[in-house]
Amino acid sequence: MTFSLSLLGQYAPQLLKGFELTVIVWLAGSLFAVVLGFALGCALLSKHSGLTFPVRCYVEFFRGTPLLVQLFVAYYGGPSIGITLSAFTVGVVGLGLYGAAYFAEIFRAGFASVPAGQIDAARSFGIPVWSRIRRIILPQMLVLSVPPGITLLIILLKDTAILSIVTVPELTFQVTGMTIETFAFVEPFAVLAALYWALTELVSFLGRRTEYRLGRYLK
Amino acid sequence: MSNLLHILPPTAFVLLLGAITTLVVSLCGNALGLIIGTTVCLMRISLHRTARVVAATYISFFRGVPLLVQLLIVYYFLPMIGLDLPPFFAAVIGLGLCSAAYQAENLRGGFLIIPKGQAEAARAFAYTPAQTRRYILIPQALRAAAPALINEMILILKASSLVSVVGVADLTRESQNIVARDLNPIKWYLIAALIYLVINFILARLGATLERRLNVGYGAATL
Amino acid sequence: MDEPGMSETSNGRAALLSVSNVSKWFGDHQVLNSVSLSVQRSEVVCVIGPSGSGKSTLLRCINFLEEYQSGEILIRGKLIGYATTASGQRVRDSDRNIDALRREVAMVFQQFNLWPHMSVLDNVAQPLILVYGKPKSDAYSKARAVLEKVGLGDKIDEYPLRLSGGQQQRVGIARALAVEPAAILFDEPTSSLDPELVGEVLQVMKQLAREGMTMVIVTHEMHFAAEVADRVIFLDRGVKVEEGTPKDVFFNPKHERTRRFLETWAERNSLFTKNLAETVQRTPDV
Repeated sequence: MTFSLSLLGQYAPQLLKGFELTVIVWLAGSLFAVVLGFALGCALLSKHSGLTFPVRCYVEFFRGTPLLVQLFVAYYGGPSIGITLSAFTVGVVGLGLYGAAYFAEIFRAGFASVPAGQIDAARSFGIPVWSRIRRIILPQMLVLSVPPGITLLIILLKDTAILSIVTVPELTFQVTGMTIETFAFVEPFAVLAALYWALTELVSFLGRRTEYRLGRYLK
Repeated sequence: MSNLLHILPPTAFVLLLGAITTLVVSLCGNALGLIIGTTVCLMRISLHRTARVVAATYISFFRGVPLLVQLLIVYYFLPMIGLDLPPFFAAVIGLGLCSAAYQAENLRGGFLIIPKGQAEAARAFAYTPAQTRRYILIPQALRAAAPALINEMILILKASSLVSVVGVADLTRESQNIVARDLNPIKWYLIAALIYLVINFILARLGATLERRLNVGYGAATL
Repeated sequence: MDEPGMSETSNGRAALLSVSNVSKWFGDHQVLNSVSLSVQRSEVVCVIGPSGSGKSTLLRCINFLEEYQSGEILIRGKLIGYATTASGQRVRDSDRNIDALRREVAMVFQQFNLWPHMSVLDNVAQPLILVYGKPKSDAYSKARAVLEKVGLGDKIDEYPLRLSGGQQQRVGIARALAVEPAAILFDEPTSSLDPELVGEVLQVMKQLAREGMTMVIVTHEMHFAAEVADRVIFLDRGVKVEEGTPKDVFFNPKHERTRRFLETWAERNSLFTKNLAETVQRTPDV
């Protein structure tokens, strides 16, 4: 096992750029996913099957198929219908569409979990619809959505590694490139693993802090 | 089987083989994950602090690192310790190790649900801890965790698309091969996606049936 | 009322179960304070007292489901839970030895604690197979016989959660009977049951008493205790306050605390107090 730290130093700028891109793609994709997912989640509350059916199809498709295959459709399939997107765009959009399906479910469940009694109480006090939504339903729904939401964010973070397969130059891509050039395989991947581990543990930790703070507000 | 060869166009046949490979890899990975996961879970709830720490670290690591990275590590690591096996084995081992972390947590939920009195009764009747685990706790933990474990199977199936990267001829890899020759990426990748969807749907149905069967004995407690 | 630890009763017969000056703490809180109790073969001893008095804890110390810090508990003359090292120190005994003594007594639990994933028959037969090493056919015939005895012969293939509370508890008693223990420990066996189901369980217990089974019963059922117990023990806050025949304890309690406890119980059960007196009068003195 020949692993020299100098090797690491040599590739440091690329690895740093890769790490940077991982975070950017993750954040951008997650933002996309949260916003779209919220819209879809609200749509699922509708009583019109004309609205819920297509959304339900969307959700089932993006949750029932592998992210990798979805990315292939976008990255390799795009050009064939005239849409050529950069790997980065495919990455962000792909991650976003995928994540949105999961967030849609989380938000829908969040809405459903707000105790009906509270909504009834608000209505009986004559509080108008928008205020009801803003002050009573939304805050509680968001608080309920935080724990599964954070779990999903961590999943999306790990899934950024898959983007390397469609040539998004994030961290895994850089490390894979490095191993191909240097013929050292296990050690760089082990370091890669350690980096992801540290990152996900950090996000978990921040997530637990957030849950705790929100939990206090509930009490 | 040769009749099938004549009836199906070659691409469909190849996709079928890929789908079967996907299923086999997923099942083996799931089974391995269950075995390792049960061990890790028992360590996680053990009375010995070392075992608990090791188990918690295992779970944290294998849930905190992307599966793709884990597969790559296993794939390159095996030859280094002299195991020159086909990619299939690296894939199953990689999937199994990763899944074990999640299954361990699912099973832990199953164990936590079991009322304490049951293990107590076993103790009172002089069961050894091993007997209590084997005859009283594990069967019930598995039953309680069954829905989560079935869900895990569906997740593994989707995750298995990554084994295409380490050279396993699964559904994803086969569809890539077809696209390389036939072009028409949207068509073939969407077909592959649909096949995954259908398999998942069937699995979900099987899961629901299994869940119903397992709960037969329990029923609603009568007065 | 302190009694010197004894493993022999006053008439010279060796006690089956002997609890001598047992004390137990949960952290700083003392739950048992130098409690002594001795149970002879075929005796039925009922332990009564308010909640938190330590009665269940005492029972659970007998088969070492709970550890006790000082005193001795002997089952058939053998100390359970502890062994003496060569240097004379007392250390926790090996699991093997503890289990060996656990095999001598069986327990019936307030929450039944049946194993829901097995049929009723398996619940009763499994301990015989796994712990007592009986061959399967013997275990199953014995299990069928005991289940028949408690009136559940037609339910052997049912699963516990489909039975009523009273039926489940009877299965619990069958499970205890099947292992042919020297004594059966009952931990508030009817406290979790709906009132109309209590009777069927007490019926079975009365029959066991008639047949000479040694029983230690923690219970709130005063009528039952009056009818069946050879001795009643009143425990309050970890201390054995009163001990005697049902007649003595229920109608001539020597201690104020006993009196108060019985009064509170009587108030809540005023309908039955008159009948209690009749019950006790009817039961012949031993």
